[in-house]
Amino acid sequence: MSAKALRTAGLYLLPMVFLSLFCLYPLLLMAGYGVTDDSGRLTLKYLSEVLHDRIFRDVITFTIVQAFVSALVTVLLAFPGAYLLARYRFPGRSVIMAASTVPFVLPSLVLAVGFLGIFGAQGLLNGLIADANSYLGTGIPEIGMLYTKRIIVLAHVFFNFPIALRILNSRFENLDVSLENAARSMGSGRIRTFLQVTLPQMRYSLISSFSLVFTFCMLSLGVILVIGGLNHTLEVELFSLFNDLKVHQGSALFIIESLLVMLATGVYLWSSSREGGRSEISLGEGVGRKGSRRSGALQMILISLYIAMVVLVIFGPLIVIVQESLASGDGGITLAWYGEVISRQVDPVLSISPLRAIINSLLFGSLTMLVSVPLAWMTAHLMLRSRFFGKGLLDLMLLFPLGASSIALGYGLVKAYSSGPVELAGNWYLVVLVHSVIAYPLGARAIHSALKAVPENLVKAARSMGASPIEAYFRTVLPLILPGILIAAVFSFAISLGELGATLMVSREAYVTMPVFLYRMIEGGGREIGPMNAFAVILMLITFLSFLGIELGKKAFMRWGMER
Amino acid sequence: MGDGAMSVVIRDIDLSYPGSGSRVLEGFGMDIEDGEIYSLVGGSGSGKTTVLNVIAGFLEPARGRIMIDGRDVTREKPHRRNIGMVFQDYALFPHMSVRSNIAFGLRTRNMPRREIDRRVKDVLELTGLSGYESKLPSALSGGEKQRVALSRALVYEPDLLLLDEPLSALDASLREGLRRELRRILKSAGTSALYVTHDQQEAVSISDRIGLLMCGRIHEEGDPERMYWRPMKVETARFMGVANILKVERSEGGFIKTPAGRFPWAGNTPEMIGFRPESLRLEGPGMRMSCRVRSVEYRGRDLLLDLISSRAGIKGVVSGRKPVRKGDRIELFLDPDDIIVLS
Repeated sequence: MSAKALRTAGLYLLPMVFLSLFCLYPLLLMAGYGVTDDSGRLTLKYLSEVLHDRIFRDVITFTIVQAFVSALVTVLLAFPGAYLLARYRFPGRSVIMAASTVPFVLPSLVLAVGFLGIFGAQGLLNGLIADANSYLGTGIPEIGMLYTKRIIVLAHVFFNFPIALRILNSRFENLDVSLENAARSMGSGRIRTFLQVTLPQMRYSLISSFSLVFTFCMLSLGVILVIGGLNHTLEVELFSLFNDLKVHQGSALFIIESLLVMLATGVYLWSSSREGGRSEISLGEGVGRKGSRRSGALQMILISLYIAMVVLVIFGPLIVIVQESLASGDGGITLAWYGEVISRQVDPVLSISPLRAIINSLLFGSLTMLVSVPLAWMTAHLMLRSRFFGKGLLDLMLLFPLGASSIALGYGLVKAYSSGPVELAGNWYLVVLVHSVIAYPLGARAIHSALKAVPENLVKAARSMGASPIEAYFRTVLPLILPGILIAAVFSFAISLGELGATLMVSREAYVTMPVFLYRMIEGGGREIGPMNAFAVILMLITFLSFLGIELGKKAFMRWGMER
Repeated sequence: MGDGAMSVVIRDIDLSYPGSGSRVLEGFGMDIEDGEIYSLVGGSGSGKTTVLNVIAGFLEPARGRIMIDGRDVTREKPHRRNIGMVFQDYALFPHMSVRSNIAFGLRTRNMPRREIDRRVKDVLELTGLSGYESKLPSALSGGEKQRVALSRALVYEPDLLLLDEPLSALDASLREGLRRELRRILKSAGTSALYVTHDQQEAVSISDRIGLLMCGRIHEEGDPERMYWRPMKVETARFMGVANILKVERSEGGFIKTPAGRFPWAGNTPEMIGFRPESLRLEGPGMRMSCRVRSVEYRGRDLLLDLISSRAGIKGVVSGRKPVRKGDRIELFLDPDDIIVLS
C-alpha cells in the first residue's frame, strides 16, 4: 500500500468509526427493538400492532399530511422569491438575504415561544382583537390558532422557507437565460416562455426542495411539542412512548418513520442528482448575487409586498419575544426578567438554575465545535477524493445523522452505552457526542464546498517553491478554506445550542441545556411569561452573536491575509 | 549536444499511473544545457505534463534517474529540488498580494527580510511589474498574472524552471507579445528552462531546442530552425506543420514518383518526402507542379489553398495578392531544396 493510500485509510477510519459507534449502532439497536420481543426473538408483533392501532395510524397519517402541506406551502411561497432575487435588482435584496438566514440558525423553541406570544390566549393577536372589540365595539371572536394544525404548518414554513428559497434561487441563477431569449426571439410571449422554457428547467429543483422540506417536517419535534397541542407527529409520539418506556412500540414506529424518511431522502437525492447536484444546501453562501433586470412599477409593488411579508413573518415572532421579555406587568419596560433569569437559584421544578443551563449550553457548544470541526475537516478531504474503496459507504453514513430521528438517536445512545464495557449514559460527554454526530455532516459539507473551490495547483506551486507538504497546506489551502471551517464551527455551535430531541433523551438534570430548560419552562404552563421570554432572547442572542462572530472573524482574517 | 555544461540529465524514466497498466513514459531521457530553453512539444495526452511532474517530484518514476545541476534528485522531495514552476492556470495564491506571492519561495528559504525586499524589487523590474506589489491576483489581467507567476518562480534563482503551457490561457494577440517577452526574461535571468507546449509556433519562437514527445520518449529533437525546415521523422514533420507528406512509390531515372506527381531526384530513394505549404510559390523558379484548386480560404495576407496534384490532395499557402478561384487550374513552383526527406 502506498503512503497516500495509507493516509486515506487513516482519514477514512476515524469518521467511519465515529459514525458507526455513535450514529449507526444506536439507530440499528433501536430498529432492532422494533422487531424483537423481550426475550430477543424476531417478531413482527409490534409493527403490526402499531399499524393496526387507530391512534398510531392517525399519528402516521398526520405526520405525512402535515409534512406534505408544509412542504407544498413552503415551496409555493419560496418560488416567486427565488425568481425575484435571481432576476431583479432592487433595494432590499440584501435585507431578504440576511433575513433568510435567521430561521436557519434560530433554535426551534425560540420560535415556539414567539408563536405563543403572538397566537396565545393572552397573545398579541387576541390582545389586538380585544382592544378592537372594546374600543370599536366590534364583535370579532378570539382566535385560537395555537394547538391547531394550521399553526404547525405556519411554523414549518417559517423554518424551511429559507432552505427552499436557496435551492430554487441557485437554480434560477444557474439557468441559461439565452434559452429564454431564444424562445422570446422566436415569438414566444413572456408567459408562454416561462411555462414552456423556464419552468420545465426548474422541475427537479422544485422536487428536490419539496422533498427536502418534507423530510425536515417529518422529523420536526420542538415546535410541535410546544404549540402542536394534541396533534402528535411521529417524533412527538416517539418521545412520549420512550418516556413511558414502551420501547418496542416506539421502535416499531421509529422503523416506519425511517422508511418514510428514506423514501423522501431517496426522492431528494434522485432529483438533486438530475439537476447536477446543484441544489445541495450551501451553508453560508449568500443568496442572489446576480439580479440584472431593473424593475418596473408593477414589479416594485410585488417585490415590496413580498419583502414586507418575508420580514414580517421572520421578524414578527422575534420582535414579540423581545417585547414580552421587556414588558413589566403594568405596561412599562423592565429588565427585571433578565435579572431574575441570571440570579435565580436552583429552580425546584426545573432542578437547576437558568444560569447553569446557559453555562452548560455554552460549554457543550464549544466542545461540540472541538469534536466536530476536526472530524468535518478530515471528512471534507475524503469527500474531495474522487473515488476510493468505500466512498459510497461514507456518503451514505453521512446522510444518517441528517435523516435520523433525533429522539431515537438520543435514546439509542442511552440504550447502547448504559451498560457493558463502555458506560457513557448519564455523562456529560454523551451530550457532546450526540451533538457532534448531528452537526458534523453539515460541517463536512461546508468545508468540502470550500475545498472544492481551491485551485488544484496551489499546493504544487508552493511545493515547487520550497514549502514542505505541511507548510504548503497551511499557507495555501488552509487560509482559503478557513471561511468554510469557520462556518462549520459556528454551525456546530449553533446546532448544539438549539438541539432539543436527542438532548432531551440523553441529558441528566445537571447537564440540562438551554433548549431543554426552555422546554421545561414552557411545559410549566407558561406561568412566568417574562422570564421565559427573557431566557428565549438570551438563547437567540447567543446564537446570533456566534454568527456575527464568524463574520467579524472572516473580515479580520481577510485583512490579515492582505497585509502579509 | 552543445558544449555547455548540463543543467538537467534524465535517463531511462519509466512511469505508469497507478491503476492503469499502460506506461506514460517508457525509457524517457533528455538533457538540458545550462541556460538553455528547451521546449517539449507533443499532442495532448503525450505525457508532456507528466514529464514536468516527474522532474518536479510530484510523480515518482518506477525506474530511472534525474540529475539537476549534478545532484541526483530522483528520490528527493519536491520542495528540496530547487526548481521553479509556472502553471497553465498560474496557480497564484489568491489570498496573498503580488509581493507575498513572489516572496513565498524566498521565505521558505529563510532569507533575511532585507534580501527578500531587494530580490522582489529586482524581479518586478525585470518582469515590468513595478508598482503592482500590493495588488491581489484577482485585480490583475491574464498577462499580468502570468508575469507574477513567472516572477514568483524566478526570484529564488532555481536551478531549473518548468513551464507548463504558460501562455495557453491568454488570447492570441497577447500571447504573441508575451512570447518575446518571456524569452527575454528567461535569457536575462539565465535560468535553464523546460517549456511545455502543444503550439509549434510558440516552441519555435521561444526556445533554443525543441523535442517532440511521443510514445513516452523523445522522438526527435533539434534546434528550432532544423525542426521547422528539416524534420527527419514523419511525426515530427506532421507536428511542425509540414502539411504535405507524400509516400514515395518508386524511383525511375532521376525521378521519384509520389501520389502528387513526379519529383526530380538524385541520390538514394527516400521512403517519404514532404514540403511545407508555404514552400509553394505562384512564380518560379523551381519545380513546376500543376494543380487544380479545390477550395480557397482567404486569410488576408495570404491564401490557404486546398489543391489536387495528380492523385493527391496537397495544401499551399501563397501570397494573397494574386486572385485564385475555386476550380482554377494553376501552376505552382517548389524549390527542390525545400523538399524534406522523411523516414
